[in-house]
Amino acid sequence: MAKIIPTGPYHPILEEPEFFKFHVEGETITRIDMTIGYSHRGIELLSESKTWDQVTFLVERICGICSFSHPYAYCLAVENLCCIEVPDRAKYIRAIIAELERLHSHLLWMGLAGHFIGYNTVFMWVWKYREIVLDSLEMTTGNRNHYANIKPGGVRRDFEDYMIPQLEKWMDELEPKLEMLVNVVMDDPVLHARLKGVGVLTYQQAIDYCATGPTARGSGVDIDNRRDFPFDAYPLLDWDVITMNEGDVFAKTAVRLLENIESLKIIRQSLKKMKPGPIEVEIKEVPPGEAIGVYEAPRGETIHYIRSDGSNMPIRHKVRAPSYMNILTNEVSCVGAALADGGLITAAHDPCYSCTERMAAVRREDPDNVINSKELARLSREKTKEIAGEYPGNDVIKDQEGK
Amino acid sequence: MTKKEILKNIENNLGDKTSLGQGCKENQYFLLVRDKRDIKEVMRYLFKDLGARMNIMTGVDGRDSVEVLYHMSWDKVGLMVTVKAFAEKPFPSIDSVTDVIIGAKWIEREIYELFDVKFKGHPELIPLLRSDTRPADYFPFKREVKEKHPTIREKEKGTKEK
Amino acid sequence: MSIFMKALKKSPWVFHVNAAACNNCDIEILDCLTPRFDVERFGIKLVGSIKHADALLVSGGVSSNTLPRVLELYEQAPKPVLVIAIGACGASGGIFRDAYNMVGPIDHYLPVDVYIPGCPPRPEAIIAGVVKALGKL
Repeated sequence: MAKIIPTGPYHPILEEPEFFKFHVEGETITRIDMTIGYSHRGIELLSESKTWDQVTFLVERICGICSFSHPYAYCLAVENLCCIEVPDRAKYIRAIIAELERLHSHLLWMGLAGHFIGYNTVFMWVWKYREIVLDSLEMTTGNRNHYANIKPGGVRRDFEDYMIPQLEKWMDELEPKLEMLVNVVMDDPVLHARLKGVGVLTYQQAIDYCATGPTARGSGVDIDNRRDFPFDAYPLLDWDVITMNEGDVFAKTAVRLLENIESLKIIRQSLKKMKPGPIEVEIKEVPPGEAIGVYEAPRGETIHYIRSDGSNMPIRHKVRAPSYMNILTNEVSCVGAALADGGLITAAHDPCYSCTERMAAVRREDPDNVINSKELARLSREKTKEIAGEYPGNDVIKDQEGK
Repeated sequence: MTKKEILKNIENNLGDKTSLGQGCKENQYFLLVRDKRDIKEVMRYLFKDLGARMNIMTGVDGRDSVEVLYHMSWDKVGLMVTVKAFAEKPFPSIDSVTDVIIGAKWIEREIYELFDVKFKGHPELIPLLRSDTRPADYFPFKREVKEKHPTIREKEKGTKEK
Repeated sequence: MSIFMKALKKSPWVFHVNAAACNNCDIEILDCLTPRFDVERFGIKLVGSIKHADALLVSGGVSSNTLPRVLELYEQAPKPVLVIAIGACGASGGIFRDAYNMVGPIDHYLPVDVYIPGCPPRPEAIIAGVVKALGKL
């Protein structure tokens, strides 16, 4: 077994290479440098040597949190190229699994954001409620993540009869918990003081940087691919798009919490409207041409572009995840904020978990003194405690510190 | 503006530089730009005057040129238009659109890194995804380099049973 | 005293590093801390610095960007340290084995003690794997 000794430039102080580097003057952030590419695996080249069905399993593993969004956008692209429409039962099954995944992703973000600002109880409670969603996914598809249930032309596995009343029971159990989360966040004065006015992204900046998803909807840009480019079951159901106007971290949090309630509505309507029938359409061959598939993932817009020359493998497959455009908005929303808020702002547009771990701050007067991400997290929690001290009668904080 | 009005505006104002065609799905169109030097004006018209949003850019390596695709969409009416421009080999280059659309900064760096297309006027054209241990002159998606990759070689020879 | 009781008495502290994984194994590791599985009652804790850790959890097939970082972490860890490879990507490179930016699974570079297969492995499997590895300490 060969061992390799690492060579080349490597910073001796930090354990992790920098991902976000804040330039600060005093306590205010003046600039941010970003380096990405640590998870670059070369998936687009692998797609060119796999058949149309096999690519679905490959794109599922681009990201584990939105593991249904990428195959869904890819299957929409192939179905657009072949000009076919899936049967009704498949449309409702896809909608149910997609909205369950949106619930799981938003609850995951809530827990991590709570952990970062020091509300550890929120982290534990929210991840406990998330287990109900993962149980529903395991019962219907067989796995907690990486469902492998969608394919071009329909779905691979049907719902059995015993699943529908069990799903309805679990959704009834989840609803009061989601409403409790909405009320807790909207009414807590400490969270208002901590999150309002922090990391503002204006309407014009959101348009210039082409932001998507809750990042754009929190700044007043009214876009949602499920309503604008209608596909599958979404035009047949009744639900709303949530927007807020302020553009700060509080607005983005509120958009995600209210979207949970809308997802619950979609799941309940789909369970009622589903009728027995076929679940797939067979695709004999894919004609030459090019097509695009767009889907609204929990973080924003996912877009897949495919080009075919008539054979059984694609010749070009382009993937774009939503965080690609949203991370760039950090350039403008972090400037002018306090150092203790820097980590929170970069996490507010919900990048993948492994990205938010890598943060560092550099003081302009003292460039050799680098503050790493553990220190930034500690600064953030101390700021919350300071704000909480101004509200002595706050029962929420007392209960949480006691637990 | 409705879908028909947007398409009519594109045909009237850009008809001398471009040609419009419909794709497989009824709301996806393709706009071919004949001379790549007009690309900045076309993008400025679509982004500023007609109010489109840029989704992403794609590069496709052909035999004589690298195709650079710009995907634009109008969300209010549900229309997608893909603009195609060709950067001829052996030294492909094209104007950068970052002073019109700031959001194009990173994707132009990525296309430069994978296909070796120079974007003239980009503020900071350095590779986005490279690492310290991968050589700087390795462009994975260029035809000559791609054909040597083991999975693509097996596909060409037909050794994998599909 | 059975092996299980001996293992429980040790309460290892683990450090997790993500070498170009898709994040699914990482959230299953975090799931172990939540009330349903609650691994902290055994004393197993996720620490922030490699210098406090007894075990190094590596997830993902290794890419060329992250390889120097993983090797440096192994050099800095106080020995003896257990190396545990999580997921299909940790065991063999997974579905990304042939990609141009991947340089091979982690066992080409570090001595791995336990493999926990799965895509992703369940939290119960991760806890069982860590406890099994403790028998080697």
